[in-house]
Amino acid sequence: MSLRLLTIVLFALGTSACSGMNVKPWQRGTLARADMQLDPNPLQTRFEEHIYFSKEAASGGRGFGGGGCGCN
Amino acid sequence: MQLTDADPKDRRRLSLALATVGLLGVAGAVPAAADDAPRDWTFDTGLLFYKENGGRVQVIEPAVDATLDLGNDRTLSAGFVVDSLSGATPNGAAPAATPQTFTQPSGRGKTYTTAPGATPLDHTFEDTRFAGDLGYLFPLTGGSKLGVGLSGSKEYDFTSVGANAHYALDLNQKNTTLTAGAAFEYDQVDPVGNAPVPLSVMVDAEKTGGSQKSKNVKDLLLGLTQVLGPKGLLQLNYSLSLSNGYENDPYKILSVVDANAVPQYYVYEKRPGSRTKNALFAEYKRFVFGRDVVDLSYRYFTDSWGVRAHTASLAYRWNFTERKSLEPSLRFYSQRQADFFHSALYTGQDATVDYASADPRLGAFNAWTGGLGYRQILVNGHELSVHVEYYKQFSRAAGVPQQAAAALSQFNLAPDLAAVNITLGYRFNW
Repeated sequence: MSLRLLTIVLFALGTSACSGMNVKPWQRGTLARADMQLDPNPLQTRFEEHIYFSKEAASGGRGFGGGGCGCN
Repeated sequence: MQLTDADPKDRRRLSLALATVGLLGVAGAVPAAADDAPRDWTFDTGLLFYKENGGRVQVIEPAVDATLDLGNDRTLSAGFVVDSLSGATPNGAAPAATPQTFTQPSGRGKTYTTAPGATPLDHTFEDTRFAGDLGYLFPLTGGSKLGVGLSGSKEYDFTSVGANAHYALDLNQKNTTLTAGAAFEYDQVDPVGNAPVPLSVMVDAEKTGGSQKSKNVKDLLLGLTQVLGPKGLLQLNYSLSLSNGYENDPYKILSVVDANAVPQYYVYEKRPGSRTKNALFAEYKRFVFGRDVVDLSYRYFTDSWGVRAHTASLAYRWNFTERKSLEPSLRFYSQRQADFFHSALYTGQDATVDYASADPRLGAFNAWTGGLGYRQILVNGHELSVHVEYYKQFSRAAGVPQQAAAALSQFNLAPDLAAVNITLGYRFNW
């Protein structure tokens, strides 16, 4: 079910979004900024993910972190 | 040279971000990768203070990530975290009208007592966790990269080792990146005073459920990152996690109550021996007003235990000067309880249920997080950051046994949790 949805989204993106949205190498200045990276502050993200992992039932999506925990 | 507008500092920080992506195994390979990385060390250091209300858990956690740039898009990284934890945590039992006395996890006649009407908390909770990881990220042919990593952690009663790999492929003039990752983890728990027999009655004696328990976790991550014009970026991920083995929390119990909500006895919790988790994650970033960055993300989560959760977050990075920024953020989280979540069991119900847990983490609640971060690039090029967050869970009563519902309604079965955390960060190159 979830996989099917993902496939549809990926396919839609692959066929439509790419043509008008593409940028040329010389247009990448903004995208190359440190604050435009998907995870510009990985240490902060790791702290937060660790807190949420120990307090909430849901996890995952963003990635998989190293080193599990007993997390009581 | 592709990064026309970016200054060398930005490129260096980008390569750090990429390296750490490798370290964490995050499906976040960035389509706009720098190709002229300097050969040096980058250190990302941080210190987290975390404190819950009502004398509950508090944590001090120093961490450091070191990344060595080997040139030609190759990076070696290592991270280390120490996690020092103390305070009280709910043991799972429901409040009662009279004082309740519980056996400490270690047994040996040690007990603790909870006041009438209060949520039973185990005050003997204390642990120090050491965790480390290693990662190596290197290019393959045709615009692709491979990252491999090892991770491990050790607590007094818990040991974890893991390995991960992830692959990223740039397509479409680096406007599209596909990622795939896999991780394996082996966890072993050596419960204090041995593991209890699940759903057995808590007694003040040696527990007989075995001394060493383990589980395996396999993770799979598929991702797509798409550039949306010169100022926008979208990431879509799907993650699957398969966990098998000992899923119980050996220290959590449930109250077994009569129709007047008087506890008759307590039983140890029991969870299914496997758990499958699915998450769909989307993140959108956009550069606005020629200065700031908006970051929006959403995750839908579902698992084989019946938990469903939505997570949405929004952050706005206000670059009010070239070197200084403020970043307010807001996160909303909502989860439905696991199928086997019970606030308490009714007399005899412990003999008929397959599984039962009163762990508040498996209950029903909404949570809000409000945050504010400040970052500054110092004159020496190092980056200093301070981040403050307030987290609050609003619980909903769930899994209340019908026969005792009226009597139990006098108690707060789902107390709210509030926590504050402060993170100090310092990032520099050597």
